[in-house]
Amino acid sequence: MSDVAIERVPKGRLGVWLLIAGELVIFGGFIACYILTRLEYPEFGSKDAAGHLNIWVGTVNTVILLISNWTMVVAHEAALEKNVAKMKNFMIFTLVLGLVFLGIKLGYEWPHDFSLGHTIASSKAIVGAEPGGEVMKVSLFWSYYFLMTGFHGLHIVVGSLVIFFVMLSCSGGENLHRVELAGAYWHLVELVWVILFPMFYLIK
Amino acid sequence: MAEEKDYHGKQNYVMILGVIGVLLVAMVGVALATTGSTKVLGISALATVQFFVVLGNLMHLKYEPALVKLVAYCSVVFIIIFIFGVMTDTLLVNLDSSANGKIWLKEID
Repeated sequence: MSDVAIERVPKGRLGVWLLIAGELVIFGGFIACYILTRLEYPEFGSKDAAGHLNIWVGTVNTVILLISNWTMVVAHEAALEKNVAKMKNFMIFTLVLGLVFLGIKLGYEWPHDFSLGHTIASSKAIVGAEPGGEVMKVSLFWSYYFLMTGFHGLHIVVGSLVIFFVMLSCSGGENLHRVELAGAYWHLVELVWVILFPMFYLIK
Repeated sequence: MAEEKDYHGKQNYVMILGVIGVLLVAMVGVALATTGSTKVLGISALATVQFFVVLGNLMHLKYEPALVKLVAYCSVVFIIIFIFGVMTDTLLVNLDSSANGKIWLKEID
């Protein structure tokens, strides 16, 4: 790669893409570990593990995240047209949809799982469980599930904060290119969810 | 530092959203209507297409300069190499063994 090619890419854009690449590798490591364990443990698809997750709740959350990605690209288009009011409105829509996604995840799905004794450690299930037995394997599924969806949720929180602060910094009509960079980070959460949703909710 | 510029042209985001939505419906349909390896392969194929539609069109990767594409695709290729590199190690040992972790050591005859 020549120096000229590196010089042509703005620092901010290159920085965001380096961050995204790093995030992809981190999530990729988690996903790879899950797939390899899943291939060895068919119990991950049982009714006490993936079979317990509600496809329709997951689908609704996926649609919410998808719409939030659309509102973010509309905000970016508004930024290109220097229409600051429209840009701010659609960034606020994006934030609200992100919060709705988190609300369903943290306010409905997780509490329901917790009430049945499933946690990241699943200590209730492990007590007295035979090493390598089915209970232990089901417990491992929940460890993966909470780790990955929790880490994904953390990215939604960070992405929401980024969008919020970019919206504030662009309110005066300056630095509007930041909207696209914030959007690229927001699309990363959709990109990861596109893999997590079928992996946990659909393949049982 | 290079000036910020709009790397991409006008896109029809409603159509892109529609494509992703159709892929989502197809994925759920495959999940409900099929079983076994057909289900796993069908869902995996649709999820992969959806992944690259998001990466290319929503994240605008297909309009980015070559260096940015290189950075992004290197991470994807790294993950694929990682999965297949580790696959032989995990699938060729018996994880159900009660050897308490010793299964990760190669046995010497």
